[in-house]
Amino acid sequence: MSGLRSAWRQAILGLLTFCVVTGAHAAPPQRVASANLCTDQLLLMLAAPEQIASISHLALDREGSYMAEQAKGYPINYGTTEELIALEPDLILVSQFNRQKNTEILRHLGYRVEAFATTESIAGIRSNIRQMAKLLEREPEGEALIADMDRRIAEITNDIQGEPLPALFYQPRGYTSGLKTLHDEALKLTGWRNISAEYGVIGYGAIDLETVLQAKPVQLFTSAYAPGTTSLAQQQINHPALKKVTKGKTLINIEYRYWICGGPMIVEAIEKLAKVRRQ
Amino acid sequence: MSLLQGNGISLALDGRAILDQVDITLQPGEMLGLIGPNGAGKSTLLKILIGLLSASAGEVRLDNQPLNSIPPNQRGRQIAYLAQEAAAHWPIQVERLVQLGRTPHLSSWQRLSGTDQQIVEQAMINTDVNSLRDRVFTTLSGGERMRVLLARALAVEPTILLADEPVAALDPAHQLEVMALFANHCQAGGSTIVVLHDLSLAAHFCDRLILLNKGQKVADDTPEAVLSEENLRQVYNIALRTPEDSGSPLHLPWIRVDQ
Amino acid sequence: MTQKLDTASRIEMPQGKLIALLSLLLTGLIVTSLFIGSNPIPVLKAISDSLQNNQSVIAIILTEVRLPRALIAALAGATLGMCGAIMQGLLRNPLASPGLVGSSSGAALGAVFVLYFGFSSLFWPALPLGGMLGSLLALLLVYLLAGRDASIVTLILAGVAINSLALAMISLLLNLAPSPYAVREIVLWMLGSVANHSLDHLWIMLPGTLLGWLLVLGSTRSLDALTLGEETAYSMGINVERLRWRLFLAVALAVGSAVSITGAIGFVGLVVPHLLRPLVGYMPGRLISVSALGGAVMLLTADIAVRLFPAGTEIKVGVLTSLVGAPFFLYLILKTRRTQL
Repeated sequence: MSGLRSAWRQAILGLLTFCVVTGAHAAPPQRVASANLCTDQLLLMLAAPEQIASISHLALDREGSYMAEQAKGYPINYGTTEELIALEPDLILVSQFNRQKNTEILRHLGYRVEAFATTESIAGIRSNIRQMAKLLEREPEGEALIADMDRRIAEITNDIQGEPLPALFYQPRGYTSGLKTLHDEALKLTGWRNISAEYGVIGYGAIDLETVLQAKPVQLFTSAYAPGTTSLAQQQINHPALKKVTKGKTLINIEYRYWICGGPMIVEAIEKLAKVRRQ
Repeated sequence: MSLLQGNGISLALDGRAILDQVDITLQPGEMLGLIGPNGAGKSTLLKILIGLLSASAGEVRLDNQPLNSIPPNQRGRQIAYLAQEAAAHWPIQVERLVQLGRTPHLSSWQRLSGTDQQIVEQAMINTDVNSLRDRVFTTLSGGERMRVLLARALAVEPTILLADEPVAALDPAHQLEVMALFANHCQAGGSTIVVLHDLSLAAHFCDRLILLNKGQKVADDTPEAVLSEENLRQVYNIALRTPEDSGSPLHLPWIRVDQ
Repeated sequence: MTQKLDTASRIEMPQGKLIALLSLLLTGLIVTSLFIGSNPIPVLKAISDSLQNNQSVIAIILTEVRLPRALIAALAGATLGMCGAIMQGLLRNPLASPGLVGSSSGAALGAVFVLYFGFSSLFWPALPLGGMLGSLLALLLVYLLAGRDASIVTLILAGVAINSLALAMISLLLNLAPSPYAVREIVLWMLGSVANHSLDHLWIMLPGTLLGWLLVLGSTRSLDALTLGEETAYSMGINVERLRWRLFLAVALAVGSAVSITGAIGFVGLVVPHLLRPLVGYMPGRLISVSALGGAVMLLTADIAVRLFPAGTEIKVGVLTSLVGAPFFLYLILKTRRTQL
């Protein structure tokens, strides 16, 4: 039964493939469609405007997208296969971990699909920028972007002195960022010790309130999505014991859009963390 | 002056008259029987007399005061009510159940006093349930239960007892026993209104009978006068045999008659 | 069956002794719960620190994390136990409990509405008030649906209907809520948890809970009288209608406040009065204070058990009470069915 069905699918897909014109990549891509917030932002940073055929609707979301202003005016998509095909793109950008089924189908149909890895380090950001620049055949722009990012990070962090102070990112529901996260790297660059990494959290994971208190953090950060809304999860990060243990310091929100995608906007987060550290 | 009286009691539900202009009086020391076929309005009348239901017309007076002007506690101390198919919802001990009879005499915070307990003991002795005092109510037989419930009612020390078919579920021996307890209550100066189906018991124990039919009072007189051949044929569609036993007639429903 | 009931009455205990015993147990559990957390802390040192107003980390953990958790568990448990005893006494139905008659899920619905749509940040009493209102409405709906002197089956069916309605509305509200975290919190509301609360939460739930408890005071004799049915209770001078409203209001105030903080923790109000009833000789009035203590003991025990699971498992206390309570509920249904036959 299922064999029959997949045979049908093969046949239909083959027929469609035959109909699609697949050109050779002699010239830089002229119609790039991005189906993912992270590729949207790198695309907006590096591409010539006329290269951009479409970006995802998330690129316009002020809270999640660092490039929301620049994203205005481009056609948007919701990442569905039909939409993407209708755009007649010569390059489709997706995330490695999202909608893998769609990616598979698009490739099967003969489209050029490039997947980007999620970045959890500044080195990863550099390699994603280079990947994007290469695809767009705009390598000089890519290198300039990287150089600018590196220069700004160095400027911000070179005057940070003294013992690293204990801190952590405390997210709704008691989640935190441990080793191998952008948060961890940014904290360490700006003169903080990441309590969660020391406690043994790798990647993103939960940390217990008592554990947080016992580590005596000097400052708590969060990068919660949708500030101003309420839920039990969000109440948890405002537990009065945390304020007491940090001697009255309130939780500082470092905007979600600097972290959700790895990109040069990490500089903004580092700048904020450094500013708090200097005080 | 009568102790408890209802004047022109009427009650209509959904346009149907349950009671229609019924007058009823109860004198001190009197045992009044309320008889009539099913659906005649006996239980309803009893509920109106204690204020459980309000009449659509007419007035109930207790000690010549309008019943609804009397504070609930005071009414509760004067009138005890034995509901039809009365039961306890939890398996509580007999003594505790009888003690509940002191409720109208106690405020929310008062504990049972020595005097209260004496009254409870006396009620249990009078109803012969003293030996059951540690038993659980729900494990008792029907006759035992009725006696315990009566002990509870007597523990109120009421002047008036209203009982709704108290003997319906009892065997003859227990019926007599319970009726005798009502009679005792009246001999001791109290008054009783009892709803009955058994005409012999009604004739035997009651000083006066009221015969209700379809919400109307048909007769209100001595048992002999009320249980006339004419009344019974008209109201119950029955004929009686009334053999005499040491001078008093026995009322035995014998055959159905059609009018 | 009759034999069994007679023996049951023999395990009765003097009220004073029972209350003393349960209070002792409760105190012991509160102290024990102060010792249990994700990491061991020197509790005695923490107590002396907090008494000397020394803001050490261990003192903060003790007074701001562990103490509120223990007290909220005790307060919520006591409320549920007490309200279970009240509902069972008032409706003369062994299966009536805040969970069954809808007052818990109604309270959760009210609290969800207030919390997720930002009303509680405008005005803190909005949260418990929302809980109270939801609780009262659900209770009245079940009562109206089932009617007075409802049979056990009717009451359960009415309760199921209102509980399902409340659950559906809660999930709808959580889906519509602006917070992206809301949708995942349905479990917290339907099963209940006392974790991650602060003293602030304790202060939020305290006034309504205490007010509810106060309303119950002085109703014990009336509840005892109700054992003989509403008509007989009325004949003994009890204003049954007023008693009903007063106790409904009390349950709504207490359960509404407690559930708006802890979510609808199931089965405490059902199990506790049931287990304790033989010990008070089945007297509904005496059962109230005893069930309050028993409820606190049960919820605190469950919460301690939950905390003994390895860190990170995050089992909600309501999961445990329901795991214990649901089979107990089935057993009760079977038992009542047998008695009724």
